[in-house]
Amino acid sequence: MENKAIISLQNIDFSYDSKKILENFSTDFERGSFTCILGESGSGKSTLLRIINGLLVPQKGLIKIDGEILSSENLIRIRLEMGYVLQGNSLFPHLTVYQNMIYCLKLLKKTDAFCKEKISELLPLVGLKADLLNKFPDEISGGQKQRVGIIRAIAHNPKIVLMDEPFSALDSETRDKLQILVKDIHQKLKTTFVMVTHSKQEAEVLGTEILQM
Amino acid sequence: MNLWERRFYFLNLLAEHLLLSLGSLLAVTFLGILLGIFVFYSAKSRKIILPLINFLYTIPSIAMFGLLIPLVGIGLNNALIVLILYGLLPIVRSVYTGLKEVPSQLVEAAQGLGSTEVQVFKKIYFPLALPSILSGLRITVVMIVALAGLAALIGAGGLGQAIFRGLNTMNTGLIVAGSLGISLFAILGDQWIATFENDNSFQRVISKNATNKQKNRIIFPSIFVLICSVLAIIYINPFSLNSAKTIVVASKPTSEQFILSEIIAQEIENKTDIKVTRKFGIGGGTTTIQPAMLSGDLDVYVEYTGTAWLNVLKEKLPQNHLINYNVLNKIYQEKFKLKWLGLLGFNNTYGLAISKKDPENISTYSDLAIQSQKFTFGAEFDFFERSDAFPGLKKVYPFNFRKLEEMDINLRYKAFEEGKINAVDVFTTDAQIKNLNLKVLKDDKNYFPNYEAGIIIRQQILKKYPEVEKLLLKLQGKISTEKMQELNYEVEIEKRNPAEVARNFLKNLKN
Repeated sequence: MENKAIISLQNIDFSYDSKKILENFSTDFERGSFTCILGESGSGKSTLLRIINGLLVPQKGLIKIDGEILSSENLIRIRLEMGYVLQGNSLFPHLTVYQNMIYCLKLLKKTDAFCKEKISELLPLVGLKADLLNKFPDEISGGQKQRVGIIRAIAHNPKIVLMDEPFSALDSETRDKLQILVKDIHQKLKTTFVMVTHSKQEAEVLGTEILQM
Repeated sequence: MNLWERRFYFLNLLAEHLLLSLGSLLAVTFLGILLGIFVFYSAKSRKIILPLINFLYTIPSIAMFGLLIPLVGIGLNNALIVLILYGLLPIVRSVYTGLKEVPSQLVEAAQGLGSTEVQVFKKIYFPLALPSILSGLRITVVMIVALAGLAALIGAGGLGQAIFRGLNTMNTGLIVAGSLGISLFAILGDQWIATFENDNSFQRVISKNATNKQKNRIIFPSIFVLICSVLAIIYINPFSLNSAKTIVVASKPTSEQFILSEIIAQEIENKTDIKVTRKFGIGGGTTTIQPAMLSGDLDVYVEYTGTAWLNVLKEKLPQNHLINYNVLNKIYQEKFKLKWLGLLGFNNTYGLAISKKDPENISTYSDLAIQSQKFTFGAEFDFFERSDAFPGLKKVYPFNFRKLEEMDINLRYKAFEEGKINAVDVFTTDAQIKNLNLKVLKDDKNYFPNYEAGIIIRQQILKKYPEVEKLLLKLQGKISTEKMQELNYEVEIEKRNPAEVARNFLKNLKN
């Protein structure tokens, strides 16, 4: 039987040094939803995202991804079922745009032909042209970088896409365009999205759920 | 003797220098990168390893060569170890720094996307640390090439040999050629590593996104280095040394020793089918050579009876200050399994000298002692250090010089010529005695013992090649003190090649 909650956090305690960030925190994320985690800086919204991804390990509590308890044993496999888009520019500077896009596909040992086909399929979806593929990240604009980052996060058909303030460094025009794009992708892929943002407007435009921290 | 005539000598040194530098560079790169990675991941080991390699780096390199002699002997192994130990610091540091400075955001991205630790290292850390690693490697390569110049001191060859030969025989041409060779080598080495660094070529190659231009930029210079190395290996053929019949002839770093060892080497080469390996100009002289004779790294060299008695056997001088050759030889055979093959005929003892233009009434050491306040006395470091030299001498003659100047043995005549000193210690066969118009004073209380030269050889070698004993015994009594002064003069003042001087000497000996 398929679980309704694809991500389930149960009784999480998390503190940095002695500063408590999360205390006995529980929540579920519904399959296919687009949840926006909204909050001031320091409210623990990025921490929450990292906990879901296993980059941070809480002092107490359980994380279940699609019914499976996250542990060091299954961490890598489960991460490969997620996509991850970071704040600002997190493209690998020594890899071409194309190599960045197929990063997860290569981790999953997909063939070159498969990768090529997949990327040519995704390019129009994010509005990028093929002539960018052989460029390096420092040769393209900020908006283009985030589009590449989005492809990197969705190319391997993940069950969950995590986004940590992906548009915060962009100008408002580019941000608006990308918001529409992400919304569009969510509707087409029907994947679960969890996005951290500090903008209420963004949360209202994109979110099917809003989690206020 | 012009440099063109020595081109094969230089080619040999060049080949040795290339292989020595490249061998240690490859080893240090491998080891340094491993250690750098280890230090990066293990905070505990970092606290031990980084200070340790810092400490190694502070040991003066000449001392490091010396410190290793009791452990690994002289020659190639010693040189390789020293070069590797010194090369470690820049490379380990640059690997560690390079890895540390990879942006944490990128590491998080790679981890978050599902890379294992090994994948994060291979795909992110290592390629992104490469610019720092390569710039460390550029420092390492220049350092190794320069330091390999000192390897000649412990008989490991290389271009440094030309420099030391030049210093020891007062041949500026050799010093310049050797130094320029090393500089050129260092520049080329630096430029070679730069080909990996420029335009991020190597980073692109290992990230599998290099253009053909970037690939070629690395490949062609590296092929060139490879070809040069293969040619160097073929040229010096290091593998033949162990298998073929070989005798290793050593010399201390003086002109006289170069000439005498050449004479021995050429006699063996001319009259037997045994191959000779020349380990000439070994730094530290007897201190370095004696242990290497015992360990079998060296087979033959010329020693002086006084040095053998006082410094090797550490025996007290007899009452009359005359060392008995037969007693000495007996002890050497029993204690060291080394044999003296007779004495060559000259006595190269210490002497004190002043200019012939100085006041006539000084002709003995006692005279000099009385007027010593008027003199600045210069001598080599050894002379002031050895208890049988200046410290002992002062007890017999009440010297009270105006000033004492310690300097390298090769520079004291230069200092005399320039007037920085006006009394100097000499060896009685020195060519400069005649050249600088020196008056060697009389040792009126017979303080200095006899330093008669003789050939010392390992008995094992005599067993292996009995023909060598007969051959070298023929040189007994063939070189008088005057003759030796003459031969030294030909090398030091007339700037002739010791090999050529030795050849002429042997030719005249036959007639």
